[in-house]
Amino acid sequence: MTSKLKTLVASTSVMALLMSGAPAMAAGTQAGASIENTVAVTFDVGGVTQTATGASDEFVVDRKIIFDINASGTVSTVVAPGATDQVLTFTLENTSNDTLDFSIAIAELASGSPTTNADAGNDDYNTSGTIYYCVDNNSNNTCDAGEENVNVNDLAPDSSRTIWVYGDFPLDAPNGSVAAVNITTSALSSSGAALTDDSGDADDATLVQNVFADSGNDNVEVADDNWLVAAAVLSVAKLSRVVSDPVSGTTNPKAIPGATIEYCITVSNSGNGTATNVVVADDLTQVGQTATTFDGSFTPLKNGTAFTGSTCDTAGAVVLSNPDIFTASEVEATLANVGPGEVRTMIFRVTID
Amino acid sequence: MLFRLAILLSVIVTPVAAHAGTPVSLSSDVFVERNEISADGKSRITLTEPKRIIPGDTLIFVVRYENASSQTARNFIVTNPMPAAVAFVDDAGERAEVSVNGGRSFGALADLQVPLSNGGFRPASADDVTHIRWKVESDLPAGKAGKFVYRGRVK
Repeated sequence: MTSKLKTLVASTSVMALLMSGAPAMAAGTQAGASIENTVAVTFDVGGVTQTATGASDEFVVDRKIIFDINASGTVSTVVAPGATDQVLTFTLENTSNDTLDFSIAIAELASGSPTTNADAGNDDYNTSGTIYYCVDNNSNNTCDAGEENVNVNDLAPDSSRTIWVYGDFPLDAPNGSVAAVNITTSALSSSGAALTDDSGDADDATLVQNVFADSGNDNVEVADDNWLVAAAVLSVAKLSRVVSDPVSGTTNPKAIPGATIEYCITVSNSGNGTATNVVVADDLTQVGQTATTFDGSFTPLKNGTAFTGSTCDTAGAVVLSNPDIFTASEVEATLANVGPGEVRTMIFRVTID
Repeated sequence: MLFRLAILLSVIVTPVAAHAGTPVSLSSDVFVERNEISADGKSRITLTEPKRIIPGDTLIFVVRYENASSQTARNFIVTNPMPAAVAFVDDAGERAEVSVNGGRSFGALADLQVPLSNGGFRPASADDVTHIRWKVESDLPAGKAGKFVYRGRVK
């Protein structure tokens, strides 16, 4: 019982230390703040209380340059072919003990695999046109005029800023393409001047000197992020089967004059993007030339999601409706979106003349 | 009325007069404690003058005192407010007492508490320390010198 109580007490004090041990500000004391130790003494001499004071030399806290830049999230940013101003988002965090500006440089990876997103393979694509970046210097979460391709301005200790990188993708961007961007940032003085590492210089207790404390102690931090092109890759097939004939009915029907033929047009998406506004049209004037006639007694169906052999599954299928068209000379339907790996069908019937 | 004013004046004047001829000298030195790792991988703790200082550095404060007079000093108490940018690191020797309330009361750190906004208290930690105080129990004879040392961290 005693030992248990001891353990409890011990762990409580450790927690208290952990909670209060962390400095309120990660960046710490502002560069340029001076430290001076003063002491006061009281003592009695001959029954009279006296006092004295003393002080240490004063010295200033130097500028500790430490910052990092990271992409938001760890998955590729999916883009569609033809999309413009597609965004990658980065966050720059200043944990230095002074307000600083930062320079930004961006470049598309020529090869190799980006490191941020595990789902991205090797970089094998570049955007069309020139990528550009935007720094949210007024922190309104919008890329405003005057914020494009500029330095990060006056980033206070323990604060962060958002940087967006924009790229365009042509309509023929291949499905699965990886386009990666490297972003490189270096700290500048709050007036935008380059900083030098004073670690090798003579010490000066009264001068604020720069100490590069970032990763690699080089005042350079790099991050990458990438786009992944997700295009819809559609394939269309036209299936047909004999539904019935005037002699055998629906039992082993044959394609003889008077027989009913069911056509099923399938649209399959083997890409990574969703196809929208897919319109399937069949010109029945062509059908007419092959001695068949549109079967008006069967209202065409669309949006079936499966087929077996030459038979389309009608489960979930719905009849064509306005503004779809089905006349003796034409069948046309707008299908539901076709997602990656999905199938949509359109079914109609004709009779053999 | 006049008489009262005279007393008041004498109370103010006396310590100033004593202070002018103070027989005790005080000085404070500061060193930076750095853990340097040499090329052969051995780590070495060095003390240097505080010229390049960044947040997180450990400082060693040395307070030296000497009774430069020909008389013995009694009830010798040294009070050291923590510099604003320095956090106390729990290592000031066993004779030290600390304050977590701006010097209003002193005690061992483990015995002190800090009031919370909800009316409760939590145990004080080294970060809460605002003052350090050392008491010399015995008399300080003429010519006697000594020092106190404590460790701090740049916030």
